[in-house]
Amino acid sequence: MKKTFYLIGLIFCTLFSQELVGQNETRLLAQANLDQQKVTVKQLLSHLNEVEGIQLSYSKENIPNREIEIPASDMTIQDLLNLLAEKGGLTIHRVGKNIVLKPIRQERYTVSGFVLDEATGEAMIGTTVQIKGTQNGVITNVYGFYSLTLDRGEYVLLISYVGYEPQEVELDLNQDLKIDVKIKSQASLLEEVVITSKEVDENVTKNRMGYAQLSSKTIKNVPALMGEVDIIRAIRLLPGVQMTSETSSGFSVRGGSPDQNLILLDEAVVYNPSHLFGFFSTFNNDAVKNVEFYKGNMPVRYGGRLSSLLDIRMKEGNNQRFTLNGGISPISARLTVEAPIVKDKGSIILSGRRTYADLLARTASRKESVDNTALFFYDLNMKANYTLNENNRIFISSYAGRDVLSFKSPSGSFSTDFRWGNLTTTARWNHVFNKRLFSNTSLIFSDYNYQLGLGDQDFRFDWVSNLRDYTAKIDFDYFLNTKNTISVGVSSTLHRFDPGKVKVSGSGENDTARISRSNALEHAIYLGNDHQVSNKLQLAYGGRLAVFQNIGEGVHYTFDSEFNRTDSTFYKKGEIYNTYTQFEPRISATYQLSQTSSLKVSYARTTQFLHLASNSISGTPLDIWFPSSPNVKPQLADQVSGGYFRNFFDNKLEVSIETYYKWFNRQIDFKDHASLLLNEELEGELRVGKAKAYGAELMIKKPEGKLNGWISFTWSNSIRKIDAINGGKEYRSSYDRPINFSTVLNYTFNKRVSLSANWVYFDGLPFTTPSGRMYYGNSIVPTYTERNGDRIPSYHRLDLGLTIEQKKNEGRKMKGAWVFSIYNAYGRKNANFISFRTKEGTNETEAIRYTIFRWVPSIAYNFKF
Amino acid sequence: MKISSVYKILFVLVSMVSVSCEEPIDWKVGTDQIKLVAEGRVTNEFINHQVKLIETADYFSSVGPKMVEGAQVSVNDGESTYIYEELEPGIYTSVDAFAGVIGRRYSLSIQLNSPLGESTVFTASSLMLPPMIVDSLYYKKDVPFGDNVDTEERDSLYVLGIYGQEVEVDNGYFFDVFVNDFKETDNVVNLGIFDDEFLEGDYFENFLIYEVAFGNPGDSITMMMYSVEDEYVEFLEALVIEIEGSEPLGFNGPPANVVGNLSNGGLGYFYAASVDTSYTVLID
Repeated sequence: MKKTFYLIGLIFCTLFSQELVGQNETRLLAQANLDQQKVTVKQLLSHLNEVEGIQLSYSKENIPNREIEIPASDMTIQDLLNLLAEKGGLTIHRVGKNIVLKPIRQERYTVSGFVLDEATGEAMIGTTVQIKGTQNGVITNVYGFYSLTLDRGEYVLLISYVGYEPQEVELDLNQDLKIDVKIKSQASLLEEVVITSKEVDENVTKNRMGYAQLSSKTIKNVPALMGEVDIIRAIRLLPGVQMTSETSSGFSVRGGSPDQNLILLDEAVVYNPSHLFGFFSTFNNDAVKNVEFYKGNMPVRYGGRLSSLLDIRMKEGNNQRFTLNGGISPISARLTVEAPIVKDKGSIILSGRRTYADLLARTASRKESVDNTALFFYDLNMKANYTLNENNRIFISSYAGRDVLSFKSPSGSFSTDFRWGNLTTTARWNHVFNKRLFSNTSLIFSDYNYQLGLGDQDFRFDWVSNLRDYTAKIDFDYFLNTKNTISVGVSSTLHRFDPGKVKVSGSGENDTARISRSNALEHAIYLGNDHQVSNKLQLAYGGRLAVFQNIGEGVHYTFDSEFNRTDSTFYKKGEIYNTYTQFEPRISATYQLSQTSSLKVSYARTTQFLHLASNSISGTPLDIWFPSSPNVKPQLADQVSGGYFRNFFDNKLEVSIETYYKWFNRQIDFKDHASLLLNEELEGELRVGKAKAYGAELMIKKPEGKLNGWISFTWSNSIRKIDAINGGKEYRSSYDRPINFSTVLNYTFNKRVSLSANWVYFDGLPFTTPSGRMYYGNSIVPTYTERNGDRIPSYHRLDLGLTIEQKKNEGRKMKGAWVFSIYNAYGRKNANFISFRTKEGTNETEAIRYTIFRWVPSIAYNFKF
Repeated sequence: MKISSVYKILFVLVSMVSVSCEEPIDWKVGTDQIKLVAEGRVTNEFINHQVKLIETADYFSSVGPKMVEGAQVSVNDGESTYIYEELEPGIYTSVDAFAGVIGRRYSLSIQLNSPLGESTVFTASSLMLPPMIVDSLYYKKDVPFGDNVDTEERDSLYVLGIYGQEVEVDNGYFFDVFVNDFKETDNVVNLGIFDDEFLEGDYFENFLIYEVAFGNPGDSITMMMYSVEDEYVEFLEALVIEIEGSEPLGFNGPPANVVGNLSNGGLGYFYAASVDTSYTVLID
């Protein structure tokens, strides 16, 4: 029984025990053979044990680290034991014949608070708060909160975050303390070029794999296409992330499809992160504070997608002073205003971006045709926060983005109007229940919709589609002690799908057709622990129980083995007609091999209940999301990964090698020539099978310094096997690029001038090439043998960027910077895709290469007050 | 702070060279086993019906179709068997004229001299469905899209519309358009194709379906509307996708074989169709 107890106890602390065998009282009265005048408790214990032969039972882990003075030289063993009780902070119990020593319960107190950016008052996410000289510490949560419970005593807290000056806080912990720590960005600290004094060793010590954190500054340093700084284009330079196409905001993570990425903006799902059919993403970098990216090892708090989590947090706004910044690029103008509501208590940020190519064209040309054309997009980000008191803080944030593409023929007879966009709103309440328990409650709304209308005086076609989410969730972080941080929470989402409604109106006819609407509930409950087992071993373990329910009003179609509809069943409002339950275990471990190296392993299971119906690799605004249902089982993935992490040159250079293997179960693909739009029987177009992905990723990163940046190399494979596709044989997934190399470098010449460059090389995407042709209906039609059996030529590209800050002028508060960039600097004709066609008027066929961007130079100007 | 002064110093040099170009490149493709492609139909017209047999070819070959000669071809409708004879190489015509009957299933059987793919025997069958009765074919003049349209083009665009009763069965349509006996719909891409997914059983009023680009007053227009099984419309739609080149950025998914209804790995389609013919004459 005792052994069992110890075994269980092993997970939390290492216990050391010895059985006391037949100790008699007289032995205790014998004189001790100790000639030292000062000993530590530890030394005294081992003396009693080894020299005096007294068998003691105690836990090595909990021995107080203090010295005891030995008052006399003629002490008995009993005296020494008494001394241990008096001065050594131990209690002595007799249990049967055992002498059990336990540390006297220490007074323990908690220090908690927020870590804030000194300049703006914004919460600092993921900052390390460590007890100096130990491995013990915590990481601030996504609201910047930390809590450490320690024995009474004096400590020095070390607060560190990449790009910020590490800060030490001395404290005498003799009561519970609330300390908000403000840390300074190194950029704002020094006039000279920053060379960080002390680097942070998070790469090695943080128990995280397949993970990257990007600040808006890092993202800004990547040369931008047409001057538009783009988070997703930066993410695609990380190892394990593949670009789907040059003109797309989609990305594939470790063999997954773009719809298997969970993209969150302040916790709200962004269902379509693209502007302008994917040339730009929906995230305006000016409004972004922090980006965290997980390649499949996402924390238990998150779920619902198989492959990755892109967690984007908006800026909170400066609560110290009014600031204004903005800029113009060849395609857009941006303006961001930040202001305190009440200094130190609350702030607001408003950020907007709009492309203006259409406005310029309208000014430049008086042509009627231009007047009738609109092609633009805009983004609006808003966030406000207010600290009610030290235990309560509220946030509200919102994002609205829209693309507009419309045209009217000069005579006005024909017009088309296409609009799409996301709208999200998040309301949050941070509440500190007590010094160790932090909670966040969120109400979240997310909407993606599009409208496509076209027609003339006689005939009009209007098509609308919409997906809406209503989410309520509550998350708790419980800072149990310095070794355990427990997270627990529950969330529930109502999804409402309105996949398509078409209205045809004309002189004679009015008709409306609607693809059946449907609803679903998605719930999750999770529990996890970040556990510092020992100085060397850290574990994070937990599980997430995900439940998905189809709820009426809705219609369910039954299909036969040939995917023909055989029956339909209608469900009334509120009726739950299908439920899936899935448990997702997640575990990861970091073992510190030395001060500068560690081994990490992890396993994660993920489930996906919502799927994207898309026939195109790059995705289109018209793609719709559809729910799992009795016909569509949830997609499932299991990933194991392992890695070696090593820092060099006093943590200045971070290196990691990670490998992974991933099994996808019930991977969804679509039948040949599938019809996915406005199809009531969409589920009949799905084909389901298995997929696997495996690979290795190397990352070499120099986060700070005059020269900074990273080099990433990925080797990967992504293979699918689906019965009805490719004759049931394995085929390469459409996102498979075995070799992928990216390098991002920045060089700061002086405080005004910096140069950035990135070069990428990767294999082209697999595609299907014809192997023959047939004649039918007086036409030539290609025939094929293998899906994705060929590959587009490899892709490489160099982008350059030069930033020149304007000279500081006395008496002028404004700081301006010019950014010159060139995308595809050596003008390689990269094939975006290859297509085959019949030469007009002949029996001959030919291959055509399509190139999108060559030499795209741009100039942008940014300013800041 | 003066926002206006900020804007004064803001300016942009837009120098954007975004070249989206397409150019032919050399590309090697694999080769595939030669297969049989059949194309044939039975309609409810009293005529000699035809079946064409052709071989598949290498993708980049520049020669015309290679016909399959010397095959035995027949069609059975459950009551009679119609024997076909090879009047031209690879083109097989029913010896007797006959009209297909609505509601009957027509089965094609092909016996080759030597195997194509793995077989010498191929079959296919198709059900004859009722036609759409087009009450009226009409037209209206329209203005072409775009700025650079010359006067001749501007004056010669006619849009055809129909009034007619759609039949209450799961079917689809394709149609041929003739202008003064010249077949406008001379290949699959130019065919008019639609299914009845949203329109089943509706009365079509003012239903615009086809543009005649260079019409002249006095031209006579003939429309032959074929009612076929849904699967054949899907087949035609897939052909159009493949012919026009399905590219990965579009809506069509990865390219794939267009599989018809022939057995034993044969390609192509044998279908039954009921026809309705309507006429109109263009007047200025």
